[in-house]
Amino acid sequence: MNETRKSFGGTIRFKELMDELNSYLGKLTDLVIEMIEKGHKALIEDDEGLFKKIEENLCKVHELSYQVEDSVQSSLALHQPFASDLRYILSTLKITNEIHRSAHDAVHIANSTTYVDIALNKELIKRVVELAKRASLMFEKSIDAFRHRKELDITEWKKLDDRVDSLHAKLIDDIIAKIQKEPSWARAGMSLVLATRYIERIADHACNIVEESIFVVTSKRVKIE
Amino acid sequence: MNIVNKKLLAKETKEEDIVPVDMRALFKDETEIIPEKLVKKYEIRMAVKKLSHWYGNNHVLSGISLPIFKNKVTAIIGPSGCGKSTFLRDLNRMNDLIKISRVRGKVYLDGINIYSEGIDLIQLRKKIGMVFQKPNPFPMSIRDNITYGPIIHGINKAYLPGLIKSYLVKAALWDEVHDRLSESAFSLSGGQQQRLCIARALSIEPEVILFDEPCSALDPHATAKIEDLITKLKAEYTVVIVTHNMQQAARVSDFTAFFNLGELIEFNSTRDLFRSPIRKITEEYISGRFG
Repeated sequence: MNETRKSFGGTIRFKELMDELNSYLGKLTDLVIEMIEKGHKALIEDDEGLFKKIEENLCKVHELSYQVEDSVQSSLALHQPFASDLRYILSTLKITNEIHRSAHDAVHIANSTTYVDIALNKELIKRVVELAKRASLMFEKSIDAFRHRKELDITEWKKLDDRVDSLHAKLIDDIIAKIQKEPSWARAGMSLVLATRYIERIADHACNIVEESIFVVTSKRVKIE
Repeated sequence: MNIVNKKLLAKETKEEDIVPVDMRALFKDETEIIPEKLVKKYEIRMAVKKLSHWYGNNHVLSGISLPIFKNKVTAIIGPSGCGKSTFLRDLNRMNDLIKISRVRGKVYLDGINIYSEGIDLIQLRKKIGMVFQKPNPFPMSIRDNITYGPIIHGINKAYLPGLIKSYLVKAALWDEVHDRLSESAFSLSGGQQQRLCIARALSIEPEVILFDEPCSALDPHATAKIEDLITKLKAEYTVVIVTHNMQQAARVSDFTAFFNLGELIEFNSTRDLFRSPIRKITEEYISGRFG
């Protein structure tokens, strides 16, 4: 019996359905993580071709989201799960939305390369990428915790979120300062501001996923603010 | 191509007198209720065509056509008195035992109409086993409950010890009773007795198993065990289950047929029928608005 089945109650059929649900959730997660990583790469390499490739993946994201939704609907309609199983299924529906939105954020990040001359803004781009890596890691960890129903330390996640917020705020300040100094750079600066905003959003999605993970494990609602 | 299932035929029946039908073709004119994509996709083990049933003047089933897919679990649901148990008992001609009972229509097993002349009823009921609502073990030991059928069918007694274990394992009961096979079957709990009855049904090597409300007398824990057992059994057997409990039909079956007032209202994959029923009356029944 695999890990997924061990963690669920009910009949063999319900466990099979949960395997199916987790398999779709895993595929969706892997795809979106890949999109986010390509988004960073597009920033570093100034590769517009990557943007198109990432955007093309949105169709697959939609399809996998529907498959998750379909499994959720079946598990609720056919098996009437209770307690932590019920919480897991309901929260899966909510985090699918977070994952879906993160995919769109990855597309926007890659699109930001259009107006930014990477070669001329190496120092700023380096800091943006560093922020992106943090957000990406948070995203990956949050979904892993959710899928494996790990107990999470809310204090640690508050610190991670605060760190991303402060790096983000500092970057915005520096970009605005540069725009004030070089008004001709305003368009590129705006693109970078947007890119950092999308990156920070991915970290926010990760925090929302963590809140759902904690709800699944403890049945308590907590807020990372 | 269908091959005549010789075991179904009485000794005096010539094989060439029975021509198996193409069971898929039987549903070409039934697409309004039987989804064509299902008939195309799954192998049909049994096919019911325009089956009607009367008890005296009481018309309880009207023109039911339904495929039973191989190695799948098909659930029959519907309000009390809709004819679901009658339908189930028509699948192995158990209703023949009721004098006022009259049947019209056809029920095919492997392409052979089981209501045609020349069918050996004992062989038919051996091939299509049945488990009833209340556990009904024979008043004998656990061991003898399993060996009773095979002995009657003339099995070499040397094989019996192996068979006892094999069928009790299949019925998920071996671990609980292996050290007390000589005890009376009545010493078992209700859930264990029902699993013993399933093991007993398996011991005569059926190909189709009919379950008539198999969990109605059991607690939720024993019910879950039977449901898991049914899920495991479908790998080897074709299963039809009648149940009052809609949630059970949803949990345990691959396909569901909804009956009302002796008619088949809707048939579909269980996933589709319970999430997006096509007919309003099905929606009203499964969402608890009537019945």
